[in-house]
Amino acid sequence: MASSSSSSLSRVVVKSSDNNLFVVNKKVASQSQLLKQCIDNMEEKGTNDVILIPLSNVTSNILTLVLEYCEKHADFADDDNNNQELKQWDHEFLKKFDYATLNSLTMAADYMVTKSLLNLCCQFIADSIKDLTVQQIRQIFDIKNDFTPQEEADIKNENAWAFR
Amino acid sequence: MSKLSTNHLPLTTLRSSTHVPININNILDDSLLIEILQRLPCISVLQAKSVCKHWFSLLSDPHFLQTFVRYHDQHQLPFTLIYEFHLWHRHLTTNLHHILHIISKHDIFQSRGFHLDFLPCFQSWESHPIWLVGSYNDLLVCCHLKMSLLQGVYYICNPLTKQWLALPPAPGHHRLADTAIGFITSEKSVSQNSFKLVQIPELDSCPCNGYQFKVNMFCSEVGEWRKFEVTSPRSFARTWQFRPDSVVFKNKFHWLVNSKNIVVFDPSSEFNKGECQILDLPTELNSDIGVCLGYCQDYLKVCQITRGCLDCVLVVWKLQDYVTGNWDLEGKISLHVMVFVENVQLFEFRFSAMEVLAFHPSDVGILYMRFDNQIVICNVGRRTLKVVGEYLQDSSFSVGTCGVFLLMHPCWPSRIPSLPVLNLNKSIMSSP
Repeated sequence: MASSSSSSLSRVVVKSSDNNLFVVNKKVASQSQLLKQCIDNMEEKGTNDVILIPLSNVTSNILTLVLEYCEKHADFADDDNNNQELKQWDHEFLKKFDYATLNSLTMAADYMVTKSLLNLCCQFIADSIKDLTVQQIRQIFDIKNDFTPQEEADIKNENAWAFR
Repeated sequence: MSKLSTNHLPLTTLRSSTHVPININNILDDSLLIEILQRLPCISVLQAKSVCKHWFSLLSDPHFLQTFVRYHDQHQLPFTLIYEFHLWHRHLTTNLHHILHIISKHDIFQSRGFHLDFLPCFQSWESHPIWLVGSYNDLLVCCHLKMSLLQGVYYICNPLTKQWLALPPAPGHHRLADTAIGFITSEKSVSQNSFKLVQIPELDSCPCNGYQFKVNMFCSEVGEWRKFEVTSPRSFARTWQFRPDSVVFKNKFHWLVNSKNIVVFDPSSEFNKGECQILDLPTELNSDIGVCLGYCQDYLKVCQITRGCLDCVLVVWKLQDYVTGNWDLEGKISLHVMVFVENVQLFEFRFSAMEVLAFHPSDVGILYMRFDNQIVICNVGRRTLKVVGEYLQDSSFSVGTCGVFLLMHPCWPSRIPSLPVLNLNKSIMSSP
């Protein structure tokens, strides 16, 4: 493992729930408020060792994606947030995933307090389901219809204008 | 420092689509589900209620509605302009048509059209017309006249959700054409609102200072008509320009009663204490031709198109001060310097009728006008005119404007409050 010669840390090691280790440089890690908080705490204590941050809720698959996002955004950290290239990249990035991955990514972004990724995921999911039928939404999210036919009809009747 | 890549790290099959689907409700906790669902448009939220019981309870929670409204931008609301007019044949006097023309920025009205056929009184526009008499936010007030033309039933409706409410008959019998009407809603919370409908049966003319006229007010919280009197500080005479609907601005009703005066009434100054205010229009306006009263952003405005033998000039005035009644000339522009986009053949301005119908509610530079049988958007800044609606090709018909109504569409449509159930004895006693 690498260790820094300067007084502050340059890298951290993040451990996924399935025990894979990820070496992450500080600027990238700081995109996550959770990781940044851990680093700041350690630096306050004056630790020069490389620190290990276990993330018990995030699998290595998903962590890889979060870190890929953080790395890209760290590169643009000094730009204004309205960078078109970055926006395009964000969209291409999320476009590749299925809903199960998107959901896990949303959860991980929330857990790791990566607000911009969380907003991005939520908006992406909302945009992609807003024109779907109820049946399609159940299908892609693997939700079982637990209404009786009568209950379902009543709900539709109550807001008949929204269904057409 | 070398850039660290995560690419060399274990990557399994996460990008393949052969995953086993996992119920979203088990992955995301409620706060994250809400974070996603609050970003949907209202219509999709209402549909999503029927996905499963868990979503139904999340989305039906009043807390969700608060979050939803907070999330959605309420500053640039889409709006709908409803132009109500008469068409009659120049030679056949019996053939009068009552028509609505809609200009809407709302995607549902754009895709489905605008209809009032959900109202129980709706039969056809020709036989028993429904008159529009007021609008506020996304609610519309219609009056259905019975055969006698003296007794009308008021309907409050939301044309989007098709919810409606018929009010009990207003006291007395009055011609709709003589009646001034004002409608306003107020919001107590996101899901709770109330409305007031004011009817002034004879806002006809006010012969002297200190003259009192009768006001009927229906307040949804009270659930019945109440009568009171309002005093006018000055005299005024009503003329043919009068339209029953009011411009609602800063929670006050404004009726243009003639070519010189606006009657202003604040519906919160209730019950006998009421006094109205009379505003004078700018004296520079030509009192022989029509004036359009409206508002844009934070100003009450009036405008007029005056026609000389060579030119048509649009003037716009805005009210600077309510107390002193001072108006400022905001702009004066010759319509001949403007260009018709897409319809170059109209540039000669050979119109027999030109009037301003409405102000854009938020864009200072935009006005809606009628040139004969065409609705035209006038963009003062760009100096362009654009035809947005043409309702008649046949020149043997004439058009008469009845009213222009503005609906503003919030991100979540307004509900019409249900009326309190009145004590039977009380309602008998208070009936006229």
